[in-house]
Amino acid sequence: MVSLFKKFWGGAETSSAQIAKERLRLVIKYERTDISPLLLENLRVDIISVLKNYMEIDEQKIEINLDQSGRSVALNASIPILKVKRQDAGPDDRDRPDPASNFKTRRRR
Amino acid sequence: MGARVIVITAGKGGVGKTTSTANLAVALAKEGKKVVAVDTDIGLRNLDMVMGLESRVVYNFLDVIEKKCRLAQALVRDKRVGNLCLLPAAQTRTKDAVSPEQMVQLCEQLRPDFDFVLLDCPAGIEGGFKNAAVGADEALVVATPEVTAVRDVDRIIGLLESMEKEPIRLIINRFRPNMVRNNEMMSEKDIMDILSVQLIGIVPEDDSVIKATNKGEPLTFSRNSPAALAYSNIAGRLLGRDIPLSSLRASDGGIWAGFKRMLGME
Repeated sequence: MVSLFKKFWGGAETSSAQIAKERLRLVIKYERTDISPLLLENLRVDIISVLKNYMEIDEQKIEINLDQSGRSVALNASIPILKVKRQDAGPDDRDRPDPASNFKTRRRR
Repeated sequence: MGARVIVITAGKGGVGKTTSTANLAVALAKEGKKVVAVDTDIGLRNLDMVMGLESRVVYNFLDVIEKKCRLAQALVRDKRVGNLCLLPAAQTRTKDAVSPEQMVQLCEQLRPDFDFVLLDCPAGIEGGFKNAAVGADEALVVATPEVTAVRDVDRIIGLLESMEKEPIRLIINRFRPNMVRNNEMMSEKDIMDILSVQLIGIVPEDDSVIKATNKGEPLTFSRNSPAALAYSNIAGRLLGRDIPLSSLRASDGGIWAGFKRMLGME
C-alpha cells in the first residue's frame, strides 16, 4: 500500500486504471484465501517461533505475504538466515519420538 | 444428445447478465439452435421485458415445478425467430420458494427438447445464485471493467469452481475503448491478469442496448451495432467457432475505425 501512495504522490503519475488493478490484486489475494491481515500476523509470529528452533534468523527482514498467480494464491515467506543451529536440532530432543520406533518389531514365529 | 445448460451470472447487479442472456439467446436461435432462456430471478423478473415478451407471460417456472401447469404452457415462444422460448420467473413469490433439487430437476426436464438452456441468474451469492447455478453444466460470468464488478465476479468464479461448473468463461461488458486507451479504464489484459479465466468476448458500451431494451427487441435480431456484433461473435464462439477477439482499441485509426472494421468483418 505504501508503494501505491508513493506512486500517487511521488514522481510519475500512475493512471487510474493501474491503481484500480493494483487495488484489486491486493483485495483479491486476501479474499480468495479468506486470510485476514490478523491471521497473517499470527501466522508470522508462529512461523518465526518454529524457525528459531532450527536457525537464527533476521527477524527484522522477514517478509511473509500472499502472492496471486492464476486462480490460486500462494503464501510466500522470505526469511534471511543468519546461522543454522546443529543439523539435527529441533524442539527439546527428549520429547522428540525416536523415528525408529515407528517401525514395529517383527514377531518371530 | 441433450442441451448445454449454461448459467449467466456475475455477482454484481446491473453489469449485463439479463442483456447478455437475451442477446445470446436470440443469436443462438438465429444460428438454428433450439434455445430456452430461463429467468431464475424470482421476485424481480426482467428477462421477459428485455426480450419484449412480457405481455405474453401467463405461467412461470414455479408453476411448472409445483405442477400447476405443463411446461409447454409456461414456455413463451418468440414469434420473431423460430426455436426460441422464454421460461419466465414468478414475480409474486420469493427465492426460497424453490429448492436446488427442484431446479436441477427443472433443468433435466428442459434438456431433451433444446440445444441450449440459458439460465439468467439474479445478482448476489445466496439462494438465488445457488438455485440458478446448481442445474447448469457451464457458466458465463459477466463483468464490467470496474473494481467492484471484477471483485464480485472473482468471488462468483470461486463459488462456481467449488460447484464444479466448467468451463467458466468471462464476458467483459460495457467496454469503453477510448478510456482504456487513456489508461482510465482497465483493459481486458488487466482483467484477465487478475481473474485468470477464459475470455469469451468483449462487448463495447453501446447506446443501442438501451434503445433495444426500450423496445423489447434484443440487439442481435440485427447485427448493425457494435454490441450486437460482439454478442453474435460470442454466440459463434460458444458454438466452437474460432472467431478472434478483435482489438477494440485501434491504435490504427481510433475507435470508430475499429468499429467499422469490426462491422466490415460480418
